Amino acid sequence: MFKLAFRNIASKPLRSAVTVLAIAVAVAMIFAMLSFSPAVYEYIFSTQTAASGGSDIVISTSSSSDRITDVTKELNGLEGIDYICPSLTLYALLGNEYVQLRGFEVGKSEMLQSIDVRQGSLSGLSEHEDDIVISSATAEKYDLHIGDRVELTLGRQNVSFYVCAIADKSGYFLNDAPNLILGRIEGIERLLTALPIGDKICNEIYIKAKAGVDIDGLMERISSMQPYSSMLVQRTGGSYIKEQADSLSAPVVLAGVAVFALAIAVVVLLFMMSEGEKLSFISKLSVIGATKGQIAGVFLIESILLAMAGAVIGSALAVGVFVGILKLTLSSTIAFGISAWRLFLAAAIGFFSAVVSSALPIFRAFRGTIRQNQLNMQRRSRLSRALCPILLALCAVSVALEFAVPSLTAAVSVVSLVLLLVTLGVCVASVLRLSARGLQRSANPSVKVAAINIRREGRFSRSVTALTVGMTVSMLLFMAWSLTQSVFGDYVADFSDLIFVTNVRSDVDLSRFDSIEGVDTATKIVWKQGSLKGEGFDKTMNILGSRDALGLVDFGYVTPKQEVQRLLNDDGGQGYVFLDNALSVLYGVKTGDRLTLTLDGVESEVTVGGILQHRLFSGNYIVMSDEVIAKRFGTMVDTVVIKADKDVDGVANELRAKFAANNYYVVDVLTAYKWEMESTSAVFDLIGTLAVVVALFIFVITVFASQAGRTSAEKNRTALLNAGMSKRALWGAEITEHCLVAAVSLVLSFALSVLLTACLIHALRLFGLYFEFMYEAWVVAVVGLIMGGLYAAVPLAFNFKKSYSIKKR
Amino acid sequence: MSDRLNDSDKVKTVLKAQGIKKSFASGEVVAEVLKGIDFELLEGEFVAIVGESGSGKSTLLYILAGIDKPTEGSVSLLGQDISSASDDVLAAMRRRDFSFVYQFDNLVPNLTVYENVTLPLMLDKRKEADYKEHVHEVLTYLGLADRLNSYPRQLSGGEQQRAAIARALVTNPKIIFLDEPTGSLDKERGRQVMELLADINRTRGVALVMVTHSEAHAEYASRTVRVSDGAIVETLRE
Repeated sequence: MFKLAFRNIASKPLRSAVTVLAIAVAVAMIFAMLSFSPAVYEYIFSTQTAASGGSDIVISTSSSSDRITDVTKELNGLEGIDYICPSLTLYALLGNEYVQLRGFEVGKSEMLQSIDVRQGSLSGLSEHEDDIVISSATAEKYDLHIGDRVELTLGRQNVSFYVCAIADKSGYFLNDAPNLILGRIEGIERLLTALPIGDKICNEIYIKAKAGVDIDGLMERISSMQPYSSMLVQRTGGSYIKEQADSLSAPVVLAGVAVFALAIAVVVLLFMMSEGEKLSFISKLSVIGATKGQIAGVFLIESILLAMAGAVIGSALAVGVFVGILKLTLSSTIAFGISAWRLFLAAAIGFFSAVVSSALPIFRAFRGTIRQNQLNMQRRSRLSRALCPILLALCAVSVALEFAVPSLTAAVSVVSLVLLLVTLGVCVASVLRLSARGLQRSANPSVKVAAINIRREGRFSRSVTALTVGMTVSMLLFMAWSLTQSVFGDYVADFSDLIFVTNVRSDVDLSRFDSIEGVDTATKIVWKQGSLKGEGFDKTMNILGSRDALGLVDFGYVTPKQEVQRLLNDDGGQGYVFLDNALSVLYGVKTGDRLTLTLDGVESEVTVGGILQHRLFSGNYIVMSDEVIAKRFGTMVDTVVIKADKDVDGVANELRAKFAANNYYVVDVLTAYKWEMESTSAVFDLIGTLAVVVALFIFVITVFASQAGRTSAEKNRTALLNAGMSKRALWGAEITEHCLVAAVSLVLSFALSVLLTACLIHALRLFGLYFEFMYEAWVVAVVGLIMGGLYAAVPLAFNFKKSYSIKKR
Repeated sequence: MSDRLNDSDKVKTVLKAQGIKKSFASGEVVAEVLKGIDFELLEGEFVAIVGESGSGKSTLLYILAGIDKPTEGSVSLLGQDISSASDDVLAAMRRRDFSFVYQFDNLVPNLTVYENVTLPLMLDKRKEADYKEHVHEVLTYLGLADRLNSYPRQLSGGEQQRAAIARALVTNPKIIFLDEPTGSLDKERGRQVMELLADINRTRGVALVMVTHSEAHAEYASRTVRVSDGAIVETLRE
């Protein structure tokens, strides 16, 4: 048995090598898919928690202008605390732009995060209070080197610092927006005026609890202590971070499922290749008395050997592919962990898919007689003939349910997705044969021969299945990439003219802003995060607290805009909030519902006043009146949003100069949300990279499958040439075959991509994400035409005509 | 041979087929290829089945050898009803009791002549030491002693066919079925193969059932059965 299996492998070295390689690539892709979602989550989480590191609790002031002095005495006596790390964070001007200054006590700068020094040394931080550490991005942007003097301005204070080290983009510097400068509290507090003598100043205290300590209990104890009762005591890795990471990694999970299914399909396809040859071999063995067990043994040993080689190479490749793609798209500095169990699972899935797929021709052979196997003429079973109509009917029922019963939409969408993909895999060959049947009547010999071949040779069924499944998945991935990029582009366009001015008093006179050239409108707003609780959900939301919020963001309206504006202006004591349509679809929230909103530690009942729509916010926003926020939560306006009608940077600089004495923090919105933009963009790039990899992978496999199938049809070509068919006409027949396969794939993929997009969008609701139906026909068409066109061009590119000759038997 | 046939009461029937019908469906059309054939083969007999192309002779042979299944009727091979026999029983019979030789394409391309010929013995889990000498004797008898390590693609058509016969013979079967064994050979090589088959039948007592379209080659057989339009129309004895 071993000898036969080895001989089979050795007799077709190219096919064996490609099979091993394809299994290896499939294993690598499966591993990457299993790992991408946690890696994306890890990346977002790391970026979000760059400031807080491994701490559990942060104590901060309610207002950013407050300072905490002499704070740690009380905490020192508290049980359950591992370490306490006070920090002073200020925003100062370096030239015309803000930088974030973060100071630590001596020797505590690496307590929360490590600092990967690229140049210089951290020892300066211990020795000199005016030494600072900057990121390599800051060094590059401001052309700074070790020992350089850096002049920083806060209000009317100018202070000099000296660069002692330049660090990599990791740890504290992972979220380097605005540019971060690390120093000592004593050095940084020189920028502040009217300091209490002898006291160290800080505005954040990070606390790490000992292992096993109840964090909520510790937070309660801290909150009940006198110095901290008026401060915010929060968890550092709050639910918002988890929700953000979940929602950003959800598209990658879905893309992963599609690529995962595709990788399995490719492995199955590879083992189904040259099925006729395998059946003939089985008939040869049967006729000399091989038992079914012996025949199965030969094939299983062969596939186990190939699958093992593929799994081993794939495991090595997986580490490279996974880390490579992540470093390329997310961050080159995050150390993404290679999980041994995921690697093992991927190798096991690849291995078992290969082994099970190799058994398919054997099962088929065992159904027929030796003669049928010899001639490769097994009759299709009743079940396999009925399978296509049954699957189509199931698809119709599932899709109808999905669209007709809103409460079932999300759950049934997953069933529809699976059914559509299975139907695609099972029925596409029938569609191809049906199309060929029509062409068979053609008087053109090339077309007629092509049509007959397609109807009778199994290799075309496998090619069209692989190409259609691959094309559909590629279309969806490319479309996801394009859509996310376009929505992202809209977001950038929408917000590129906005500037935040924070640290303002609630009674600030807006006319002072209006008078600056380039300022179109100035709007007071509370822009904070709060927690909204209702039936079936508890979400962290961005609160846009302003009666003029509708003028700032380009919303869509389910409730008429006039009605929303009316209720914003005249609350009537109801505590109206205006929510996104996503919450209506996902959780059945409707106008008039009573929900619980928690803001700055205060909980209050609010009423849903109306429903809005916005494409990018994924439903995570609340619009409400700043007056209502002040009354119900005691939170006062501390931000003014400026809408600029010209050069945003120029207006921001103008504002900084004019209000230098007021200690305002002025930053344009795109800079303020730079890290979110970078994270989102990185995830989108990941989807794009996946799209390219998948398209290339499926194209190579399909072309290989088609080429391998051609070898078994050599006798057929010889017979046709013998019968007087010209080489040109035979070439025409092969071109027609490829064109018809490409055309059927293109049409079916195009049609299915619409349904699959709808199902995928519905399936996202399971992750708490809601999107309107989005479809970009041009992207789908371009991807389909490129892949189909390239496949159709294979006979020309490989110059099939050159290989035609009448072969001796 | 003729002595034995003259005393047919004492000669054992090794194959008995009754009421064999075979039809193929192609869409709505059903073609009846065999229309109720009865056939018997005696121990050590050499039967040639002849007929026009499409007459059903090869289909009959495949059904007799258990390679295809009849639509109706039964086949008893060496006392075993092959329509009710399990796959394992049939496989064991192929390894020990009967063999089949196709017109061409009999050999596994990536095995040498020796490996091809010994394949049924290997599948029967016999030890090489037990059969090595016998295999060499058979290969020498068939003129392939110097081609042991050649691959099928390195052999001529006649050599390939002799290797296939060697494989059929090496298990010491009681019956060998042959489907146009000389169909792909030239006249001289075809004659050599027929001489060889007649010698195998005569000296080794192996019963042969051979399908051929050549009247000349049918003359080597002790009985000729003519099939036409799915039925036996004539039986000629030597």
